[in-house]
Amino acid sequence: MSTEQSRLQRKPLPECEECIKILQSYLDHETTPEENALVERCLQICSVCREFYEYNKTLIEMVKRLRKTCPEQLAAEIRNKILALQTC
Amino acid sequence: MQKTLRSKIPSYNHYPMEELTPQQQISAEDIQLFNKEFLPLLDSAYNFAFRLTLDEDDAKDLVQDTFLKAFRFIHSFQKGTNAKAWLFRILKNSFINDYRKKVKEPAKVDYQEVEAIYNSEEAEAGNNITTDLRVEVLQDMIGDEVANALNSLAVDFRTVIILCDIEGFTYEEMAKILDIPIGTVRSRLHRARNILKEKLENYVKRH
Ligand SMILES: [Zn+2]
Repeated sequence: MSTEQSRLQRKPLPECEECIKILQSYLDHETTPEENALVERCLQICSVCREFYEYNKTLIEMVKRLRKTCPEQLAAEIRNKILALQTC
Repeated sequence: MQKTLRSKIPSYNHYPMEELTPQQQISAEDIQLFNKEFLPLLDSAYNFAFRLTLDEDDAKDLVQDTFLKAFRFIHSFQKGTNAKAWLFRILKNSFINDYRKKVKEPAKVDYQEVEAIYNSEEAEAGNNITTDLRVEVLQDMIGDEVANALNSLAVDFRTVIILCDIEGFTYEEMAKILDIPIGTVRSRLHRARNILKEKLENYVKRH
């Protein structure tokens, strides 16, 4: 890709404003087929929106990794209490 | 990437409400239902409880209360609807009623004000991209830094992030769990992620 091309691609397109506005909803699969088409068109040609997209996507993936699991002792305690309620 | 929870959400009046009395005799069918649908949700419930309370002991108590409450009210759960959303709504209500006062809030926020500002900002969304956004910088961060930033958000902001990004709820499901309109879910979630980004960027600048 030439410098000229990459410079042109960083110039906001008319769709960019709308694209940025709905990008998070797009990542959450909460957009309509028309909105998906708009975002995907913009991501193909605009590096600014692409960067915004990648950043948000990475952030969501990092948050996803923060999941905690229930301590085994607590899980056992709850199962036992439920079992006691079931048998009384 | 697909959302895992698309099943039908029951209307508000099918969630357990304070005025309901717990069923004394729980049928064998309901016991089976509880063991099959609800007990596998212990990890998700603990994760949500921990992120709400930010305290391991409180999270344990909250999860225990939630499961015992869910068991006592199992007769009011509509079979075939979303068990996880039903359980999370009980957990969220228990947190608000019994734990929220105890939790030391990292930041007091007037949500209506914040959301109003954000909605007006969203109209000018094109201005939201800053040159500070660098995926590489974000990828270099360790989990603790992201966790600290997340925990420092006001509880209503971290709640929507947990429900959406970790638990995979749809906006509609979140609206039902939190008793707020879908539009509020959307704007609160987007705002929450933007604040999280700002916190992480500030962290990078400081270190
Ligand atoms: Zn663009």
